[in-house]
Amino acid sequence: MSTPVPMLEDLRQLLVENCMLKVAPEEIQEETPLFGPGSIGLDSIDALQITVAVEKKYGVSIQDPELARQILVNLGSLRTWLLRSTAGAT
Amino acid sequence: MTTYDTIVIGGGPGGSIAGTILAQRGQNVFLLERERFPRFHIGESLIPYANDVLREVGLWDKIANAGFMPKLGAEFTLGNARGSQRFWFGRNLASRYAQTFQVERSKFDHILREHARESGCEIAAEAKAETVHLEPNHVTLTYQQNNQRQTVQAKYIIDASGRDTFLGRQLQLPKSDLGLPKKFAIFAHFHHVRRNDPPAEGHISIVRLEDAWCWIIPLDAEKTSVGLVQSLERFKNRKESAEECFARAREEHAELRYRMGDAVAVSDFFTTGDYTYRYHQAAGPRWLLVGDAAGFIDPIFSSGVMLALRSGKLAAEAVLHAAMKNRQLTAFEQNRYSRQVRHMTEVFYKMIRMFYDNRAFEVFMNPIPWLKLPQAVNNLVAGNTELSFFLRLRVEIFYLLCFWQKRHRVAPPLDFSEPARRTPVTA
Repeated sequence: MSTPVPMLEDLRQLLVENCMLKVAPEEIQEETPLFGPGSIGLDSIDALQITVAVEKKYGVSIQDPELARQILVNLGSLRTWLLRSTAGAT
Repeated sequence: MTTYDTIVIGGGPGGSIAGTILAQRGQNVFLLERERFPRFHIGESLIPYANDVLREVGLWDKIANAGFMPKLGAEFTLGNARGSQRFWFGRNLASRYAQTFQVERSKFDHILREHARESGCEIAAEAKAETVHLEPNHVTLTYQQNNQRQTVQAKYIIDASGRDTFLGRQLQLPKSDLGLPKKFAIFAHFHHVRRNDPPAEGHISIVRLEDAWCWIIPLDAEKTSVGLVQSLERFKNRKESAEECFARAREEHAELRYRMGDAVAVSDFFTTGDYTYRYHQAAGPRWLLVGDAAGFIDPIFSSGVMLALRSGKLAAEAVLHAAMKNRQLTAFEQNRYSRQVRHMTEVFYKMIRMFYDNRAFEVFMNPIPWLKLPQAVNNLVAGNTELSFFLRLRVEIFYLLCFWQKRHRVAPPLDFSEPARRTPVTA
């Protein structure tokens, strides 16, 4: 089975399925912050859920907490990282 | 000796626009171009705040129908692919600024120059300006064409000679380097550079390395322009050839490996020194400097063509105003033009300083959304130099935070390190 290409819509869906969202998924744009002040208010449990779901779906593990902090800033950064990783560039 | 209303030196975007506007208003315009066209030129990305000028002179439809790659925004990504910021012009700007184009300059400049010709400019190709004499009532220019020296006279002269800075050198005008270090760019055109998924496939992609950056500009269905910019000092210290330096960057950074994994160069590698400068005065009684001839700033925000087009328009308007009264540009008019040009470059100069400051750049990559800073930054990236009060306020807050970031982190830190490569996923 080939790895699916991570699109914004897929990643939104992944948030819906794995996190307790307080906003409508369509409000989450690529640059919308996921964590911290002014964000959609995800917490560390959500972050863990996302990394597990990402690994399951895309076969890319995000074990390094520093890496997770960087690429889970918003969905745009997560998508960028996943595209590069599934292409074998990272 | 032939006489004209205005002489324009240089047939790039700035000169062609100035010539077009003057000719459309009935002036006799003589435009000299040194090179044989079409010719290669960098500065291939437009920003939306140049759109108005293209529309006003009737060029928009020609450009829109010429097959250029539509550009809907810009994207900034870290070299290790661990952070990225994508801007969409359509999201915060009026619809006329929602898109612009990536342009292969040989073709774009040709369309602009032909438009100037159709508008009535007399164009001398492969003609090299040699000396200029300024007198109270007219200017005299000698130039070389086909090994013959010729002389023309006009009431006004517009210098759009680009980084040649013909008038600046002739008149030995005072200039400043604005305190920015000298840069060195290595670039070529490639096939098979990996693009974004639609609708972001026409975005310019800026890859930010710790002490350098790359542009990736999709030019058409196949061709992509890629360039590496670093300080001249950094390049010299590495003691390697330009092509070696480029190849190493391409191998070292995850983002470039992803973009350029299958890329093949389809042009030679070119290099250029990008030396920032700005003339203190951009106009005199019968002369005006346009575009790069007035000043050159770092190309990171794709401001070059926009500044050329907009200063070309302002210069033409200043000439028309003075010509109507058949007099020199007054001191007030000269200063006003200089101020307008300086104001536009100043907006970009501040952004350039921010971009090269790694701490300030952290705020750029994660501007605070609840202060509506992303909207303000998007306006800057689009080239809006005439900000409304509220946008200007947010831009000021943005720069304040950039400054603050040096002591107290208001945005998360960026990590430029390239971790050891993981085992590639087999497809």
